[in-house]
Amino acid sequence: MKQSYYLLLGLLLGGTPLQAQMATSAKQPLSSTSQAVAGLHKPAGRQVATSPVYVKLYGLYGLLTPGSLLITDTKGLGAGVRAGAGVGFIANDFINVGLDADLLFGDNLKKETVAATGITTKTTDFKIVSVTPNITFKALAHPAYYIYNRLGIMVGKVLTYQTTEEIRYASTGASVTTRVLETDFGDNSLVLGYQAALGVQFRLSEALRGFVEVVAINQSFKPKERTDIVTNTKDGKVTSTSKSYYAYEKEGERGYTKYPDGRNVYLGPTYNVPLNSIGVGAGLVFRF
Amino acid sequence: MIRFFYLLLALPLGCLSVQAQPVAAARPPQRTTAEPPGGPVSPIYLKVYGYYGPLTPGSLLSSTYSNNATGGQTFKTTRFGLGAGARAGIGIGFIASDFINLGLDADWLFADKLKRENATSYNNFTYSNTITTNLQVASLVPNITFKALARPSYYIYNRLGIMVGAVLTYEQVINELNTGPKVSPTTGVYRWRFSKNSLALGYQAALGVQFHLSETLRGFVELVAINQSFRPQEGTFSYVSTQDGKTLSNDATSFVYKSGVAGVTTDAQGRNVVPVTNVAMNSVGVGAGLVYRF
Repeated sequence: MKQSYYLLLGLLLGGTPLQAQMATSAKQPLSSTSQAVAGLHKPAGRQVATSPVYVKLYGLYGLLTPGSLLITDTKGLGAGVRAGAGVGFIANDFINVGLDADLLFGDNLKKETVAATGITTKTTDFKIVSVTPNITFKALAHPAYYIYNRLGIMVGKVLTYQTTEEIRYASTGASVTTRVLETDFGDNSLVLGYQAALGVQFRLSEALRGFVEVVAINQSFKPKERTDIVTNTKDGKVTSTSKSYYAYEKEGERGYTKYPDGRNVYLGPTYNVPLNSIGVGAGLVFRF
Repeated sequence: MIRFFYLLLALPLGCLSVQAQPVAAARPPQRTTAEPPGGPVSPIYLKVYGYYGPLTPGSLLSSTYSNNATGGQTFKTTRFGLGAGARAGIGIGFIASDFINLGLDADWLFADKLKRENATSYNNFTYSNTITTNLQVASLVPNITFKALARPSYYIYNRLGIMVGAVLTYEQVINELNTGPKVSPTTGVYRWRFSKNSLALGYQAALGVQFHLSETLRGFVELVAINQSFRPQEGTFSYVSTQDGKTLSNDATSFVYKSGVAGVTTDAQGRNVVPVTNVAMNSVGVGAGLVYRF
């Protein structure tokens, strides 16, 4: 990840002639210098794309999860692949505005803990869908590529957030006893956050562009409801099961409440579930 | 806060008419305006800034508890988490081109003291405590600024920075007071001091507007989002309780965070072993400052 960042930074510095700043003196708009950016889109004398609208397809892999809820010793919620599609509008030579939608297929994070009492294996299944209105700042153009950065506000919905914790008890005899706790966070707040990307877009054909970017995502949500199912087994046969229900609010009275549907639900204070990631993305842009 | 973002978003869009992009061969950026006579000529600038981040998306939240009239226990979750507070900083920058500045900032986070007060009572005995979290972090922020649009009196930019911080103070203190009939009140102080922590790594993204104040002076206002976190590594826990001025107990233990261990409760030095955890100190807020050009 660091290498990619250095690469992008190197491109920026290597391709940019050093000169005194004119933007701060700001006597007129930058429209003439912007032709360099525009030139990437429209080479002279050829049939070129004319619509300011583009669509894009992309994939992203979140490697690092700084500040996330840790699942394993090194990785937290938010790690995994995102696949998405977007539509954008070239507002001017310097700015694009767009709307992306992506699906995070969270890594199936697994943690095994070995203790004297037995072996505990915890797995997490996590999927969210996000819509990201965004603004792209195009900074620098060369014949074959341009550098950009993008800021986006992310509004997402949790599709799946489930954990399974299986304890295989250390056995003193021949029988094997297990306890499996399945936790399903069935109702959650919106997943809010933002993203910042630094990337390079390069020309593939008249209508097609490719891009590679480093993306940092900060998202979080608050669980609202949770159901726990505990299943105890002995030699593969279920010996007992139980269900318990939890609800989370910002404020209220701690304890059990009988819901109209008959469930006995324990109410407790809400909390944040962060799912940050830093990763590398790539995709294609189609211009019309 | 969101309205401020919309304002910033509207500025570049509203000022430039939508137009077909001019047909031109790609060529390197070039100057379109000359510096005013007698204006700044050095590509170096200095800046001084302040920031206040009241929102803490994804940060650790906490709750307060108290008894209500019916004997139940009510809770209330704090709105803000770790990382909320003021940052003050200075920076140096280099104008690499018409589109890009490179800089190095250094700032100090004076995190808001997170205070929670709890109170419960039982059979005329009252137990109350105040939990205070202190955090101070100094960060270095190498950054790159993308300048997007210039007008006679201002320009719009965004900035990305990588944050590398040192945790100067991170501790949680619980002051408790227990009172009851026919006994003197007892006080207790629980203190978790996280004496050794990893670097506080993260990044920041800013969207702002810089405006002309004089030949050499610029002002700026920006919306900044910061994502920073660290992992505590070692610490101490102490507990001191007193009654009528006399110390009832005075205990201290050490703890250490380790990954990949299970079933181990103390290490070779007798410290308690606890699993590693992330401490997120995110914030979203508004910054402002001055830029001096030579």
